[in-house]
Amino acid sequence: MSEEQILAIVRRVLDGDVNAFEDLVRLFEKNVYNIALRLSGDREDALDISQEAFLKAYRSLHTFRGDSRFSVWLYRIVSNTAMDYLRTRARRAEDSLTVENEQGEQSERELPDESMSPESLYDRKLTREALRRGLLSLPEDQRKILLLREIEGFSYEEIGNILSLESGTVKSRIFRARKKLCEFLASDGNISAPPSSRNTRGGETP
Amino acid sequence: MKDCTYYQELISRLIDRELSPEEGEELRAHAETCEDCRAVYTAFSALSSLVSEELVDPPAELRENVMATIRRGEMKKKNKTRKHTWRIVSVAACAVLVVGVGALTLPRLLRAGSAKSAAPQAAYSVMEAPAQADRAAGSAESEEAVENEYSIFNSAVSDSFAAPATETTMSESDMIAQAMEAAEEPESVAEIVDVTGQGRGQAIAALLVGTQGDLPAGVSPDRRFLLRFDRDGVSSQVLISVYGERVFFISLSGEQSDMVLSDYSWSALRAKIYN
Repeated sequence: MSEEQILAIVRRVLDGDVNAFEDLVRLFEKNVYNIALRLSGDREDALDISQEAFLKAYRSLHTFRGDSRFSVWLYRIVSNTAMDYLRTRARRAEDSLTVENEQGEQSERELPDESMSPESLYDRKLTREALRRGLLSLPEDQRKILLLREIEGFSYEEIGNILSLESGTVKSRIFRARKKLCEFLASDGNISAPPSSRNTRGGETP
Repeated sequence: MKDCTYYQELISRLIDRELSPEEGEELRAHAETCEDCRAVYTAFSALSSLVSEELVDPPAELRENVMATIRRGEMKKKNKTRKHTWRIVSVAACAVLVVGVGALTLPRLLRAGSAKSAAPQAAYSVMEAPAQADRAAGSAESEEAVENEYSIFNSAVSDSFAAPATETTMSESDMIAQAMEAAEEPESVAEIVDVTGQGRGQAIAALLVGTQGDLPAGVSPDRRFLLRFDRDGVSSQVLISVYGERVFFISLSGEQSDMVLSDYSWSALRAKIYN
């Protein structure tokens, strides 16, 4: 759907056509949900975050000025909603999360198994689960930025706009996220470890 | 000489199509001689497709819940009090007449004078059949006169009269229906504040007039009242403007004010307020 078509729907909503908002939800729900899912690692949380984000978008739709793509505006809300949500959740269930984090960090710190089979990706289910854990092992800011890039395909400039970051920060953060995720998956045996990142991993901080 | 980390950052940007042609050339030259960086390219690419592939379908309840909440909210919004109208109430506190509700004042105030039931449809009787209502109330006004009064309503309002099944109509009828329901609950509180001649009240009324084009333009009403009632913890307000014997109700609760010309005559209303 073109940006013009999206803007036309936005205008209809602003003119009081509540049902038109359903078209916007339909259009973005899959990517929003998947970003939320990979940010949170939990289906229930992803559902809560997505719903909350769409409701916030509806309530503040009148603030959308059209100076960026609509999706840029929308994902700023999604990003903020997810961060608020995850922070609250972290406070709420600090104990159970700590265990998860420790596990994640532990496996991250393990040296990659050199005997791991190279190049190919493993069984899809295993891979997906490994990816889920790998993403969760990333610091929140890296995880978020990588998902915005990979799932919604935003440019660095747009991501900078969404997260209020310089595009220089965006590019280095995406790079760091990729490196870290590769290392995690390599240690997990799901992806071939990039040789050079193996060499540099000693200097990394989690 | 640049180290591999530099080139790997370029690889990351190559995948994201954020590389200048010069940088691309530089990377290509390096990758020809560096096996490690070629492996990094393979790994980053695999990762990229891994993250962007296999997106799951969101549960159907996502959209359902969002839309249900929004639709519920749109109904409730009609009953929320605007901040500025609250200020008027406090400014006008000197002239407060608290009116006991029960089944007494408010239902009669808002219900058509006809013998129609208190069911939600009764709201329509106020708007849909004012002529009938007028006759039932024994008003002296002729049917034609009432029709003429409708013609001064803006198109949005008259459209909603013509098509009572649409959502637009719901907004007006909803307001009245809610008011009536509230009035039938003993714990509801209603308050009528005389704001005649008060600057703020007039400013808002002027604003409403400007938006709606409903009320006799440029003419101050003889009397103006704010009617407030609570229901389910939500406050609603209705501005009542009296022009001669004609009484206008404007809901101040929604985003847009809803306007209803009541069949109530001023003399009948006055009796209710000052009895």
